[in-house]
Amino acid sequence: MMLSIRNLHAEIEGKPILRGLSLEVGAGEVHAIMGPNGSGKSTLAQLLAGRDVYKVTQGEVLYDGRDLLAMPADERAREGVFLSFQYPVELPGIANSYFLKAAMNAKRRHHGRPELDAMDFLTVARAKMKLVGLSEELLHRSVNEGFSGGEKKRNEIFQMALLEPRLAILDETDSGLDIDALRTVAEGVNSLRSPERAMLLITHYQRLLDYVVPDRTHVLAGGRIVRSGGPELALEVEERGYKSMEEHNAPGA
Amino acid sequence: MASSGSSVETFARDLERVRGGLAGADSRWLTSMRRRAMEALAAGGFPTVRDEDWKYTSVLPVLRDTLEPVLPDESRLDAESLRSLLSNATGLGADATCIVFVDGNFRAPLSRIATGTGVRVSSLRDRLEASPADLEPWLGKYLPADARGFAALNTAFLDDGAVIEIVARAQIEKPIHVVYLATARERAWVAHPRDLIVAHEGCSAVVVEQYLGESGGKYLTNAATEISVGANAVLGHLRIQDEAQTAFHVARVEVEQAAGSTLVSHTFGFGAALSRTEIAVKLAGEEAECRLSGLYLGDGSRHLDHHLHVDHARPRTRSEQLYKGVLEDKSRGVFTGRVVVRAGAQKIKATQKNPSLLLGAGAVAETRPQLEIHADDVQCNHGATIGRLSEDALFYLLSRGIDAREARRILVAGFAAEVVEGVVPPSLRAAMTAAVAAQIATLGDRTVPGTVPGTGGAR
Repeated sequence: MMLSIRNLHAEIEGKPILRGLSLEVGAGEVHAIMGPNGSGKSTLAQLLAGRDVYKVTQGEVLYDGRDLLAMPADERAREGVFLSFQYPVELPGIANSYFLKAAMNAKRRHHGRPELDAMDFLTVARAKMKLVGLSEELLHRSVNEGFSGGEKKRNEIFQMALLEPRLAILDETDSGLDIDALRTVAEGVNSLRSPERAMLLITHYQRLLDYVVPDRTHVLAGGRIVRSGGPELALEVEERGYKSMEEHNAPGA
Repeated sequence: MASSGSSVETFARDLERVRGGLAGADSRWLTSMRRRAMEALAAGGFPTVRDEDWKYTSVLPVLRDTLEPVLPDESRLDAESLRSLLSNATGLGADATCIVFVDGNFRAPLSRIATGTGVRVSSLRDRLEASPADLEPWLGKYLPADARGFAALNTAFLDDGAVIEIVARAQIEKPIHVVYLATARERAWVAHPRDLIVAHEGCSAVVVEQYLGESGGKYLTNAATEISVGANAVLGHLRIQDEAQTAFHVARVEVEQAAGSTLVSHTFGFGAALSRTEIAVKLAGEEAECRLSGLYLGDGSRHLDHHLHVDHARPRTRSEQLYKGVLEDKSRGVFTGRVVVRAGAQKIKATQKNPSLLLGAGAVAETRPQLEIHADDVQCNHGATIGRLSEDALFYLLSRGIDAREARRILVAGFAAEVVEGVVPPSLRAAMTAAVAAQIATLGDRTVPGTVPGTGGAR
């Protein structure tokens, strides 16, 4: 298993958010995690990426058999974990190109590969920007500053394309997108599916899953997974709402 | 020899000793100006923290050592070492025009002074020796001899510095560099560099004044610069204070702008145990505009004080102040932004911003906007913020594999970037961006050799 989450309990400021979440994701698989607001979706995403405001009180997370929770956020990223942010952060004064080159080179150094110079970086970046329909001009602007909602999300997928993660966590990548942007983002995501790469799509709505069809779908409620199934589960959620599923209160996974 | 400190008396004594050798010693107006300055210093003394303008900066550490004047023929470092020190200067390409001083004294072999290009660059001492009367209308015009404290001390010892005159309507593209190199001498020393920049009507030029120190140097740079910006002239003025971490830097820049002129000023405070930089701009003609930007980086227990004074003396004048501070460890940054709008000076626009980034738990930022407005048709706003690095931003960088140290460095550089943006020409901006990045990369690691004599100012 690439990712094994076992009986994970986590809290923030003493308030429990995840309560016994378990999940197994294998290489090449795309899993959707759906859930209502407050179910713990974003907590799960941020926690896996290494945000240290969450305190794990019980359980474990293994990434390729290694203790993921013992690794600092930056090391997780260099080891192939990637989070596409629900709210990408604006970094005034920092050129997108500079930021991305720093990220790529941090990873390359970690894996003993030579760093990219500015020219190499531009060549790679130009090719990958096409994938998500971003204009090259955005490379020279400050990271996410003044970007439209769609541009921010596409910039996230662009980063994912550049950093080539093994485990990609997409936190509400569909939120705030119009249908054209959603399609572009979905195409970008689909093009990055590969047998070596696992993806976790975290979403509130089913509509992204029309474009990116998951191998497995899970419903998260009250901090644990209450239902798991195939892609059809998303449609059931869409029809019946989360309410009925929370009532099942099935044991985790 | 035991050091017994510096005072008005020790400076007066030193002046008696060296004054026969000062430039233009035979010139009556000059002698009289020096004498009036020494009298003003004797009468008013050095500022103390009881002086409202010096409330947060104590100069006691500056005066703790006996600061000795450096005579022109005393040179400690060999040419090779000086060139090595000079190589730290920012934006100084192989063909750049530069006038270089060592421990306050002009050094022709290190300088590269182009002639016949619409600019005249010379050493103040050379000019005062050759024809002092030429400078009589200018020296002390904006910084009067009876100015207080350190400014008076500068005038009392006025001897060498750079004189830069830009011919009317000349468009000078390449920056003109004035570089002060300070060496680590056996005994604590002082220099009083005095620059005069006259940008005549309709000209356009960029002048860079930089102050660089040899590591471990114990000295005081007591600098003064007078600047005249003629009608419709556009002057870029860049000031880089990168003194030794063990040194002191006190500076006064006095600017007067004629109608329709523009001053684009950038000040970088990187070095010195304690520094105080005052920039006073008088907008003396209608439609004159000044943009004053600054960046100061503190670490250890260093103290950086920037003091701006903009005088809107005429209607339809505009001013912008943007000073940013980054304070690591237990460093302390002080910013005072004074804006005066005189009676009858209508249709004024003045803005002021002073954001500070506190990195160190013990770092302190003091910010003081001072608005004195005697007219009613005035748009004036100011804002000061004091913050820490955003956790969200930090996590965003970490989540991309960038380690914590580099992430902090990138965020600080991002904070600083706004200040550098307005630097022209682009080649100088690029050099400045690199210089700022290099300074930020070592921020917090710059261990000060030995003990710094009581840095931190008033505590």
